[in-house]
Amino acid sequence: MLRYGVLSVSLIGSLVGLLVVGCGGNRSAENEAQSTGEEIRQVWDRSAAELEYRLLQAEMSLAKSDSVYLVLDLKANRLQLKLESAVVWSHGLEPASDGMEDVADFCSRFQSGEGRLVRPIVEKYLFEASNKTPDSLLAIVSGAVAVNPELLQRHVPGRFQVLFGEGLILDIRADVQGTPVDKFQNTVKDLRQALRRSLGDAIISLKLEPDEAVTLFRAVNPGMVALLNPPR
Amino acid sequence: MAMKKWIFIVSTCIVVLVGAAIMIIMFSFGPPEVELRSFGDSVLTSLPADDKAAQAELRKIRKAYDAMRPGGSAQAGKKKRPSSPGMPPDMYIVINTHANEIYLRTEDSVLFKATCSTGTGGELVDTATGRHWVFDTPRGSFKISSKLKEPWWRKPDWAFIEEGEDIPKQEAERYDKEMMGDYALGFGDGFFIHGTIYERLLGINVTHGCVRVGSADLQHIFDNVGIGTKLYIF
Repeated sequence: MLRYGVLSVSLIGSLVGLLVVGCGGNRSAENEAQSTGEEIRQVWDRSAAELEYRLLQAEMSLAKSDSVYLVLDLKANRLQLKLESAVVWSHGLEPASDGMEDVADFCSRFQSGEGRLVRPIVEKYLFEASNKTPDSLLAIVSGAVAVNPELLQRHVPGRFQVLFGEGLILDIRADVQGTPVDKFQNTVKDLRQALRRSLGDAIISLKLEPDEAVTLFRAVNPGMVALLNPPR
Repeated sequence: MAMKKWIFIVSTCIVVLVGAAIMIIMFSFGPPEVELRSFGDSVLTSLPADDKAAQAELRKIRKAYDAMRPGGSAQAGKKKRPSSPGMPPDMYIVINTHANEIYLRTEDSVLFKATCSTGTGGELVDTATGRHWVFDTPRGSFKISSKLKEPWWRKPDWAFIEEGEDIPKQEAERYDKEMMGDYALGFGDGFFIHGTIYERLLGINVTHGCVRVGSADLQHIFDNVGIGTKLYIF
């Protein structure tokens, strides 16, 4: 009986011993994997570092000015307005129709083979808009505060474009019943862009909520700087 | 035969004209090319060729950029916490004058959003003295410099001129205890985020430059924002 007891105790002991050795083995395997990971992390990716360095320089220069700038963050798929490096407005950059292919085309055209990260906005074109404030309310308000009603008027854009030149276009639509601003110009613009798209012009189409569209439309103006954060 | 010749000539003309129109549309009516005068890629420099120096340079610029950001390392070192304990320390205020909205936010998320009213951009000229005012909300970055409960408005000269009233000689006649609501947060130069008795006009640019917020929203902002909180107006 005692012999069985001794045997079972020694069996349990050896099992525990084996378990300890096994776990230790796993731990050393983990350590090995960790150190390999660190080595990989320590591998110096010069091109990624160069891009980050240029981006940070650009951000710091833009942040030093007192103007709002536009950030096309294609890495995080976000469109942002920033002021002194603080995000003041942000919206997802999910294209409305043609998927991520448009974003990739836009990105490569923006950089134009030279790794360009900064471009000015050259034009803002309003296709159609509706009036946000009903005229009746506007008349009361403008009377009460003695202000020209035009100053209180806020167009809600139904569709507008932000153009960066060289065939780079952000096409923004809002769910708004708008009236065309200039039918002839609109047709010429659309026709031109449809034709030039075959030559490589890049358009990202976005759909925004009316309030978000108002903000972007009013905040973005020709001369504003746009910064591209390209995806890796 | 002559008919066929004419058809050929006319159709050739049509093709040429349509082609010319397409060319004109494709290569004209485009946006003007604008070059960046103040800042562009040409001023961006590359990392040093030596890997160690390059890594050191990258670390340096990361640190410098982090210090610039709201809630970055430069802000974190400060003793005073500008927001309430329930809010993240890197929280800041944004006023969107385009949509008349005020936000409490961090870089990644909007924590609180409310409708406000900002400046009309209108002008007032005092014909008697030639003095001139533009009623716009200032744009840029500011800090909350004061927090007031039950604030009184000291009416400036333009408030009387606008109403066609004489400017009072007695200082006491300038004070109005209703107009600014229950709270006011100052951000310099006489500008405040404050309450209003005209809540129906929130969402419209109707103010003389201050930022008006509805009373419930104003209380939330007042309770969660401290002196020193960064404020960005665009």
